[in-house]
Amino acid sequence: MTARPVVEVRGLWKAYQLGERRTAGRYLVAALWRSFLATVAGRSSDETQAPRPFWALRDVSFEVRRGEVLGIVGPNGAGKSTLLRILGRITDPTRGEAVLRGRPYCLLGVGTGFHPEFTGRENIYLKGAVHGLSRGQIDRRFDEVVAFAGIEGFLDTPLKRYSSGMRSRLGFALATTIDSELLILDEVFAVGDRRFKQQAREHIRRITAEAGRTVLIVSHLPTAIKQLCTRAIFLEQGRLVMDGEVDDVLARYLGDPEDGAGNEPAWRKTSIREMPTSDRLIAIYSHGKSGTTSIFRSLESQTERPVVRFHMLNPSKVRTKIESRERKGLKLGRSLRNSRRFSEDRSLLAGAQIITMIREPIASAVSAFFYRLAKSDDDVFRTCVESNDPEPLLRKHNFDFDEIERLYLKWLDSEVGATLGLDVYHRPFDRAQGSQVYRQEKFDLLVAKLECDDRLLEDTIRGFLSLDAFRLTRRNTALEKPYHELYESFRRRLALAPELVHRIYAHRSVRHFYTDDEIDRFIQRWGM
Amino acid sequence: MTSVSDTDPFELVIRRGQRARRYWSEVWSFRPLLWQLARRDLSSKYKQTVLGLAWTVVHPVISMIVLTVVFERLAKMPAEANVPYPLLVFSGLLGWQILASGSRRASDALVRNKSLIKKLYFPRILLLVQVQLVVLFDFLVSVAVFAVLMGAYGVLPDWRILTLPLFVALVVTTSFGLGLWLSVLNASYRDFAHLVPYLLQIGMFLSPVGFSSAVVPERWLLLYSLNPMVGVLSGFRWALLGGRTDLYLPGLAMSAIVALILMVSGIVYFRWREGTLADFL
Repeated sequence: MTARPVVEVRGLWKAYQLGERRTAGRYLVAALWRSFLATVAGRSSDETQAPRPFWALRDVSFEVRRGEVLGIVGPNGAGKSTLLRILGRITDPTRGEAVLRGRPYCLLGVGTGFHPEFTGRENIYLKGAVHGLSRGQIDRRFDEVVAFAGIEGFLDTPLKRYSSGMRSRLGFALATTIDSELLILDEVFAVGDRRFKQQAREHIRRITAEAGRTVLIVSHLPTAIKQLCTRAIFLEQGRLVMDGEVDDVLARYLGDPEDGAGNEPAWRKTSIREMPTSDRLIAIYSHGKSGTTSIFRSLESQTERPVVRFHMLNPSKVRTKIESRERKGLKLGRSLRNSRRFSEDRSLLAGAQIITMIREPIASAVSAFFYRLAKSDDDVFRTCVESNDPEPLLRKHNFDFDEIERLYLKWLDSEVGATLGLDVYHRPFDRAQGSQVYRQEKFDLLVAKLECDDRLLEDTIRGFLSLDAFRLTRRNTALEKPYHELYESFRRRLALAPELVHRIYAHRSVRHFYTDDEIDRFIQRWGM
Repeated sequence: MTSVSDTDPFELVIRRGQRARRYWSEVWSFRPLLWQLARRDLSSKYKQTVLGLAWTVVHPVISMIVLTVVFERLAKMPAEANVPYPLLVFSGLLGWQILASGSRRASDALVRNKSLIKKLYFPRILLLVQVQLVVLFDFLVSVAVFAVLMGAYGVLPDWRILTLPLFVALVVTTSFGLGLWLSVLNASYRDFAHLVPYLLQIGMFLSPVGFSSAVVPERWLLLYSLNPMVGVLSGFRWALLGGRTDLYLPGLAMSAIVALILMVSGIVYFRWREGTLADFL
């Protein structure tokens, strides 16, 4: 008799609502505003912005037979975890169904599924209770679990004080001790020391071989998938794009050339000192309007090495930006797509040589102001360009401290500081040279001032990247734009409030990098 | 490791809203988890705070003193025949506290336990049932305090006290129903957490806690009983104070109907949202 599959997934779809849905007040206001527009302004309601669903899973179907160990791979955001959450009954699918013919035991995430306030002992009973075990049944296995997890001394300590390795070991110990026909594991190999990882893999091998248990594994570690799984599926953007032999699926996953550079397996090597320089990624990572286009294009044309450029790496900022663009129905630019990829998997940056350009904030803001106007094909702007009269623009702009602070002054903190873990402000910076290299364990970072002399910048970049030669061709500057003259006269005539100017240049993100002379020149330029 | 036989009937269909079938039997099968959660809540409350038990005692006593001063001394509300005002207030507080602390705890029950909800499957309604269990335990402590107080005033209950469980059931129904609504609403819109204490404060003055429902003219009493706490609190007084107060039966029936509607609608709403709660936490 051929047994029916243990897991049968048929046409599974899952939608999440994007955007804020947290406060009733805002929701109410939005709803009222929509109905106001619909009635008063006579606009039909589908023109206005209803929250749009984001499809985390799109029509996924597959089967798993008894004793199979299925690996699920795919880039972040592909829907792997959503799939496991549905199979673990954490959340319902939106459409489709899944049939499980075996009691599932889920371990979703690294050592989670516990109550942080409960002690280790209480959590063991809690997990047992969730899986339908009585106190007596748990008592009988208690010692086995504690021994495997190695938490003898910490049974009465709240779980929140456990190290992530301990938590993970406990989760694993329970997963392998509580009888279940179907084991669902999401990223459980991500923590723990080498010995533990080995032990855990050994355990899974034994379970599957001896008891004919079925296992579903999501892991980012290709080696774990390769060692443990008998079959693999590949998810991408919510779709199942491949189902087959582990080696074939992994080959596709690791070699997937999504767009240009970025996924070369060589970068996944973590020890960058062993990596030949020629393989190292060059990433240009700066706030907007800091002259990176010139550097990016120049590098692209003068080196064989992969070069990428992005302005953000902070996941929450990237997400907000992407959501807002998607809401407006706009396409994601190359830089934003890079932001998404690298913020989702920062290990892609292992070994990278990162260049961060800094530019004094008001010049950046003025430049952004013009850039936006030119792009939006603004009527006022067009007449200004034609008549070469900056007056209307001088009235139109409103440079505001909060915005400048958010976009430029805080950029190093919220980006380089928060994502690369490098607090530049507590490191020296060679103001006279205009640049500084910070060599880290996983990457090298060059911070350089855009205001530097071009020849100096070229030398700096050439030295940093160990290039034989490097010549900087200025691109995307106001000089080559049709509004060049307007830009210049605008710049000359712009007079910002002295308080604003002083407040901006008193900020440490300026003070740290620029000499007093340079700052005085900025103040004179914008403040008079 | 046990091996699985081919005849194992276990089959689980996961589909949107699939929880509908055999829902309550599943809830019942999860009772070890319920005990564990309730025991944990109680022990953290009574063991880990030095004054754990004392708080449960002191809190209603202080409320009693404040309400007695406000309603008897300042507002000059009439007491019913032979009932010392503090007893009138305390008997009302007994019922009110089940509702108040029940709905307060219920409103953040899901948010507080989101680490469980996002990582483990169990019928989420257990978290709300557990709240009621904990509240009932506190109630038993308060009843003991009340017994001492009655002894001090020399007021003894009669056979009517046997009907008290009925009124307790009524207030638990109300509290459970309200809790179901509030917990889900608070999961979706966090501002409910801020709203609930205010609503409860207003509710306490709209319900006959610090005064007797006898002050309401009889022709308005049925309408007033749309507030289920009117039936509950009159019932509590009638059962505890040996019939020294009146029980208005049509009002009680009205309150019971409203309480039932609240609970049934709460269960329906909760089950409708239960499947995707994890997405909102």
